[in-house]
Amino acid sequence: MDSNSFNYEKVMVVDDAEIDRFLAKKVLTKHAFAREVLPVDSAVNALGYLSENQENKDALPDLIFLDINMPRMNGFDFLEEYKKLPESVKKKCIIVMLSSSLLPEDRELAMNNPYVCQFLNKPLTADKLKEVVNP
Amino acid sequence: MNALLEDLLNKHLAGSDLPLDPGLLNELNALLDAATSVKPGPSEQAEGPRTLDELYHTLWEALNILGDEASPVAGNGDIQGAILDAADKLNKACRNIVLSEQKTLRETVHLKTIQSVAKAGSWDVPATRDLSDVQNYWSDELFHLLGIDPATTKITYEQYIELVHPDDREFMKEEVNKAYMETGRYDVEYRIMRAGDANQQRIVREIAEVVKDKLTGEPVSLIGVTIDITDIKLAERAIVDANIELRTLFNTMNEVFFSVDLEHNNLLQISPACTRVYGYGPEEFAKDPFLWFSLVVDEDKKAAHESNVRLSMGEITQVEYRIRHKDGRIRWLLIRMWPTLNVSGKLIRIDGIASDVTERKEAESALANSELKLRTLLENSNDAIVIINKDLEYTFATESIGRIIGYAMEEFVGTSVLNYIHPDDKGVISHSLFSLTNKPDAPLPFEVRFRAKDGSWVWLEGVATNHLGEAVIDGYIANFRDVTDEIRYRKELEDANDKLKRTNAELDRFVYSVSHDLRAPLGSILGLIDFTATETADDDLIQSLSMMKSSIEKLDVFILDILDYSRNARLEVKRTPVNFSALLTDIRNSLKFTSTGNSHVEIRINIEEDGAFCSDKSRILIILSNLIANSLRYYDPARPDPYVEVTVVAGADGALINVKDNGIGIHKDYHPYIFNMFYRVSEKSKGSGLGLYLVKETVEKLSGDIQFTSTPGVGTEFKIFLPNP
Repeated sequence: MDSNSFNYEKVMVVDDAEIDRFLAKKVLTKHAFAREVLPVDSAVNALGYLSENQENKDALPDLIFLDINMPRMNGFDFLEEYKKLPESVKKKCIIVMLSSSLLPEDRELAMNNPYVCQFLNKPLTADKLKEVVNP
Repeated sequence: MNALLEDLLNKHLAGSDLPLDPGLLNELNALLDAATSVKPGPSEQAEGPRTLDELYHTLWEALNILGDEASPVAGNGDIQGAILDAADKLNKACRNIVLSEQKTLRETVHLKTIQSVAKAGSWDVPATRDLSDVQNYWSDELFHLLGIDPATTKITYEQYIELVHPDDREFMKEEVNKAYMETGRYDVEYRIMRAGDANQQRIVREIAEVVKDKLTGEPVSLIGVTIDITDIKLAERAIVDANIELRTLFNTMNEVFFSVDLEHNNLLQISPACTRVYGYGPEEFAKDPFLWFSLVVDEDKKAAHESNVRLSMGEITQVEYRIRHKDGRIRWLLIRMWPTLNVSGKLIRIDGIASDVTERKEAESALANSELKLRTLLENSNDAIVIINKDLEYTFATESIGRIIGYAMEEFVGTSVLNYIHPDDKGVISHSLFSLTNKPDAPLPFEVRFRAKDGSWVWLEGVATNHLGEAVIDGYIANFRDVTDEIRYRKELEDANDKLKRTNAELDRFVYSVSHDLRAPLGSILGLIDFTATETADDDLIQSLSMMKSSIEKLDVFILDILDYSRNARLEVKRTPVNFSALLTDIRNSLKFTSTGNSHVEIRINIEEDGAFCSDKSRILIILSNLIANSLRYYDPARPDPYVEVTVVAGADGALINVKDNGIGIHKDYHPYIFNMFYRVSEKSKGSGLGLYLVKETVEKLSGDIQFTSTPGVGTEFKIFLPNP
């Protein structure tokens, strides 16, 4: 695989389910979607990482796959907190919601959020990756 | 003749045609002649006495002179005695003459008086050929009656005829002629014009007789009496008119007049109105004196009898009773009767008036009935009605308040409204008063808590109206009822409803999270299966993985269907403008990532919409995605061009949705069951058996209609109509 064919440098996957993080990492790597996959097991930890590295541009992900249903802090809660992060962070990161929710309300709510650029249903497959916007 | 006597007679009786007996005069003459000397009579002193009485006295005086010693008549005693005898005779004769004269005079006066009083004039017309110029005799009263002056009028028959009313003249003349020629008399009435003035008409009756010569039988004259009968005639006419009026009244009045002679048990009279009032004519009442009583209904016979008792005591009596009219109907009569008692106090006659008062009685009884009805209604009603004056005191209450709040009417009236109202509701009272004052015509509904006699709070619901302007009411009318139970039920219902809503929301969250929690691992597994399949070249493994995948997909669809079902059943219909184009794009996109979406079935979409159609988007999504998914699943692999065609025409009147494919179709044996829950046509079916059931349920939820046609080997077509509410 040609190193230049990677769509993204660094992609963060925020999901509480280990199997989904594992699958995402496998699929993203196999189809050369990301050079580096950064699995995070909770919204809290994701926020922590982003906030810690807000000055370190290289450490920040180019794209974030965000689950909705997560314990303690769900995907929408994450978006509320994400809003407060510096512009430098928000400018760099593209957020794609990745959920098994089929509720139209969820989709609508997500698409109305200015930081969300896409809504995908799980599971993540090669076909769906093709739908994701390129940088 | 003896000079003395002649002188005497000349002096006293000149011009008088007194019928003195000639024998007596001769005797007197002879006696005076026998006397020797005659002196001029002292009677010269009395000039001009003319009455017979005076004549007699003068004569008597003269005779006395004759017998006197100084008398110019000398003679012996025999002569004197003879003269005295003669004078006595003369005296007697004169007295008779005077009496007879007086009688004639009296009769003349009487005749005049009678004529004047009777307004009857008399007349006499000589019977001659030419009546025009013959002087008639008319009595004074006739002149008076005719209004003419005897001094200035020619008293002729023609003159008379001119005073007769022109219309009556010919008839008059005829009557006169007839009397002369045949009848000898007449008795007629005609009109005259007093003094020839047409405005002074009088009516006269004239009776006349032809006087005939006893020997020849020829008419000598016509003698008649003419009587002014104008007043009598007018009185007569007035009486006739009054009689006609009375008779008319008697015949036409609805009241029956009657008079009964009780001595002979005889109906003296009964007015024809009895035919109307009783149905029986006067002759029937006359025939049967007890008919009236037999018509009185049995219940009222006592009252009729009692009225007779009162009459027999001389009381004017009024009684009401019912009779049975000849036509069978019961009529109410009011009878007023005036008794007549004889000197011994026995009732001999009854005069009365009977009037039909059925209508009044019926109206009275209807009124009484409706009053009774109203009172009964009020007293037995669950509603109470009260009147509250401007000082907020009860001035009236129906008995029914006893049932509602336990107070007796007497202890309630006069107390203040504020004594009973729950402290929290006193604001309602002041609000209500404000509203009733400002909008006096608007009835005001209210709901307040009211302290009942037993101390408990009763919810009262009712309506108050402002009648301060009406003197009879002078206050507010409030009618109300006890709604304590209703309010409790309502509160319980509201509570239950709230609870249900909460439960529903919880259930919705539960279904959602369960479906999510079930689907999430399935999604992960599917992802892993896909990934694993790309990592291997082992065909057996790939086939196993593919079977695992389709099994898991089936489970996923099933979960999704259950989720849809649950949401459709429980969630309210939420209507917003529907954009079918966007909706179908979404469906097409989401189908792309399912296994069914991978088929090479072409999805054709034709949409005609103006944005006016409103409905529940998520439900339309359920309908469309299920139908399209079915078309994709059951496409006919034998066809080179499998397709599903969705046609939508949506507008203000509703939406027509047509989903048509050229798939494998459904055999008509299965048509009746395709909308059943969990019904699947074959083992090969890939769905949950919920899809079409869900479509139908959802269409019904949107008050729509669904029809379908399907033929194996040709295809299936669903036609849906959704109304625009």
